[in-house]
Amino acid sequence: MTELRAAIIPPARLIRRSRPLLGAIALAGLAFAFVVPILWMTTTSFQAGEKMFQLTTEWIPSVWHPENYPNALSRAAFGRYFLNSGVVSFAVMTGNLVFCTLAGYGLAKFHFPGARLILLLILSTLMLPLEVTLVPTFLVIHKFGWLNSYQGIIGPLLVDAFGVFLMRQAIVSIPSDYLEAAWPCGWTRNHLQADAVLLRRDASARHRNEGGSSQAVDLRDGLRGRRQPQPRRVYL
Amino acid sequence: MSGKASALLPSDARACPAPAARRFWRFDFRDRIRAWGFGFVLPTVLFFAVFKYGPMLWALELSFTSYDMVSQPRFVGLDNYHDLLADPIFRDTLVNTLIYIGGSTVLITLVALALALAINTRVPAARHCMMAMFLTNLMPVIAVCLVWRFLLHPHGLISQLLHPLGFDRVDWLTSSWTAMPCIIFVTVWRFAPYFMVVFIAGLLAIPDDYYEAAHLDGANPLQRFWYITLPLLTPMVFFVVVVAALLSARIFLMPFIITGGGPGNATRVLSMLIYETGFSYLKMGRAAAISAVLFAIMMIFTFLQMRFYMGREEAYIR
Repeated sequence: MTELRAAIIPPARLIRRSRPLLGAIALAGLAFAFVVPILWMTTTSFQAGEKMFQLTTEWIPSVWHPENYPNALSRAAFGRYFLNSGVVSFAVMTGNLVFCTLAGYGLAKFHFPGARLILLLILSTLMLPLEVTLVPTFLVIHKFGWLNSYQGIIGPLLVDAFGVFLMRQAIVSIPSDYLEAAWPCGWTRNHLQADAVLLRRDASARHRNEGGSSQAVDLRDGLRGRRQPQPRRVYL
Repeated sequence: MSGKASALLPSDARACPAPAARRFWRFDFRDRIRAWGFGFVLPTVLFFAVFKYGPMLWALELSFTSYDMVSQPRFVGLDNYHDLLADPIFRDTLVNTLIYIGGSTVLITLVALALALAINTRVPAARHCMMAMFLTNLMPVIAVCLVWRFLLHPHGLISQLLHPLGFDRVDWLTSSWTAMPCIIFVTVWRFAPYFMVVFIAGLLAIPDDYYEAAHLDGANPLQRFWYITLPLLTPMVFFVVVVAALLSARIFLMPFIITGGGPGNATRVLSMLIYETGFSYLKMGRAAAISAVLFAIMMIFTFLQMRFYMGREEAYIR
């Protein structure tokens, strides 16, 4: 029966067979529409300036002008700009890594009065557009004497509310048992954070390995211990 | 083992005698742990106090003053707000901002959802198409604005492409009717693929079993979308709406670079007006008052969205 029907209406089957292909073509067209401005930017960057507004765009340049790039680079102090971007983004990244991790750990694993309120206050700054505090932030930077300096750019970006939230959520999902199991090993809170939380190592397996001795472990030992074979290694 | 480290261990608590009854409060090991916790959070708290909440309160204070950064702030009461209400430029700007937030949020959500559904059909090369679309996100906003300014020029690529369709050199960015839709369009072009990825993540989390069951029951694709995809994707949709609205409320570069607020006032948004009032005309008090208005709008949006979200949440639980 099935074979018969398939034999009677091959065009329907043909359409069904080719549907993924038609879909792919349609989707590719859609993607191309998104990419056209980028292609235009790239091809125009190799052409003379007056080609920008012509009746027909030359998608493949008839005359190549690769010297546009060195020209643009020599027009301004691009080395300096790259350095500025590098310094600022590296500093902001470092600040976010350090402070978001610390704050996320503090808010996830400690129950001090006001912890929830602090989290709420940090999260509500996500709703606060930068423009609302644009003027006073500028005045704060002005007060600090940080105008036209690196710290003036870096300062207001040093901690990101969303980063704190992400870190807190990630650390909350690590069971507290692992942290508590590591206490008798003589791990201080600092090592715990560095080792158990950041490296996400199995604190309790380590505890068994060392026979529960209260030997002080520092970060170097923690890293060396990683290469030793461990029984029942559990990834947190 | 050093004394400092051992101070944090629970065994020390056993070594310590129970708190004496005559003392009202003593700083025991639990308090010490709490203090450590607070210590971890302290730098962040200080940061938010200095760079977020301090400036916010200061902005509120400044909005009642007249301040030009040279002389001392002078208290003027509600004059700034009063002047704003009477200012036609401010009223235009307010309307523009609401149109921009509304338009770009709705379109970003719809386009992103449509693209995600198209890619989730799992046709061949869907991954490559997704990657191509995501390329728009790799461009810095400034570069996006400059390129689109050229493309939307009366002699630019868009006019060229529309020429065979009978359009004749539309002044996209210099006529007051098309400037704002163009900026919304560029915003959608830049940000929709990002939210598309969010939607794809949501779509992949929906188990195939549901679709198979619906298919066996004879549901057509539209029904499957309406009764399975959309309800299960609702949290994702709300996330996208909230984030897109907050994103478009704070966007300042798009109108600033593409049209510079023109023609006339057609594309001036509140964040731009704040910048101009504060830094071009040095009216810090007035700029702070506009900031307060923008803040109030954001709070209304956030509040409405949260109310709506929570209402839906309860409906699902019930």
